[in-house]
Amino acid sequence: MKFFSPPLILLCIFSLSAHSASDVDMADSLDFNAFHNDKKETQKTWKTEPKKPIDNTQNININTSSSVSISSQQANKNTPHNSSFSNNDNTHKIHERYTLNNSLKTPYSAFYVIEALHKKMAELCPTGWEKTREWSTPVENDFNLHYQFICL
Amino acid sequence: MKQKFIPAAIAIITASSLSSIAIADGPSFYGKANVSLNNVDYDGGDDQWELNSNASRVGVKGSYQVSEGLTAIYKLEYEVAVDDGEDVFKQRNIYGGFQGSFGTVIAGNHDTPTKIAQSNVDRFNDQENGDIKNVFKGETRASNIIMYSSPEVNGLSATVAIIPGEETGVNDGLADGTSIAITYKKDELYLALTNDSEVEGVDVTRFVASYVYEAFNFGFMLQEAEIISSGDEGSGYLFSGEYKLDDNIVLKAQFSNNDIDSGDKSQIAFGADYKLNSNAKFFAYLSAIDTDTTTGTQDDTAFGAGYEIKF
Repeated sequence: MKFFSPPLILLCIFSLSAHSASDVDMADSLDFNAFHNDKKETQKTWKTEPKKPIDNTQNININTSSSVSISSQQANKNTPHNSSFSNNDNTHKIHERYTLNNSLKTPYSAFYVIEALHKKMAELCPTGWEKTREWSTPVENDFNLHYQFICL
Repeated sequence: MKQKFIPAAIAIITASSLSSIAIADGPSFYGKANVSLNNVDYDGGDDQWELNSNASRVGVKGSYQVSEGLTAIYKLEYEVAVDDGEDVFKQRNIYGGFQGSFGTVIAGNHDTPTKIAQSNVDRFNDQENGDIKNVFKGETRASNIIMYSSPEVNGLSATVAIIPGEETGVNDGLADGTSIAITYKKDELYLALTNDSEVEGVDVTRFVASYVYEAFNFGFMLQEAEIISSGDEGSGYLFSGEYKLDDNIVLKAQFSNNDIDSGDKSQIAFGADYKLNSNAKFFAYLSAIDTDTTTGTQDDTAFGAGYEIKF
């Protein structure tokens, strides 16, 4: 009967979702905010993201192919900046989704997407570019890394 | 770029698909295994070798936004007996609650603010004959506890808990027991002042301080307590410290004394941790507790060596 005890069932259900190594240390703390921070951090980042009047930019999701990219594009439809577009040929915004953990939506870490973003900048601005802004926004359990830049 | 990383992507997705499903907008899993081989020598009691689990545990926690400015939070944590098959799971801190700009409200089975506020000054927490619960009252995990924790303002925060009695045949009130903690954190300084009133039959007032200075970590605790049923009362103190010898080795020491009417208890303990990384370590310690009783002095000692693996 012990095999059907609730704790063991929980253990089985979540046995493969282990992460957040410091959680066990933070668990015995009065700082409930820090303990539950991994989820709330996403919300906090979302809310504090400065709203900049940069509608005159082009926003390009550089995910273009493969099932992974399609999933990522679908997820990115929920992001606030994804629908912005450009009416200025010299200013561009691009973004790529990355994960800090394991994600079904993207396999890429922040390190990997930097290279992809630079390849896209090189494609859009063959004569060079100046990156004017870099930021991340949360999307589900992942993030989008955004670059805003102007071609030289 | 896509073609280049597709194989890696497939591999990662395949390997992590189950875990990703489990954690997507849902709970996360944490815990630790803390296992030690102990030699205990208790006056009038055991004199033997033991394998102990030292409050090894598994926990599930999560949160999600239920409306603008309001987040639901939950935690289910169970102690795990690594060393034997009896009572494999035992309830630890378990709650559901809500967070917002107002702070945090939880209800469930949980350590009192007084217990949690002692923070890390107990260098031998959960260790056989090392934990300060062997010397001090107030290390209470209360059932039916409702707790409010304020947001931190300039390092200052407050936590208030009420505990309905729920005793059969007694008209208990809403707050038969209360536990309050005021904490202050600034840089390397931590201070806490707490009070328990009629929590499991004990009144406790506790002051805690800790300070980190370079490789040293100092801890201090002062406490007054009264056992309501017997009227026994007394006061105690604790000094503890850690010294980081290098990136891997931490030396620890602790001395405490609690002078209560029913017997004077004092503890002296030494230990060392060898960190393998941030989540795993080996440790060893020696703790001796002397208790003055009406018939003499009882000497209890424990030596332990083991490891801790956090996840």
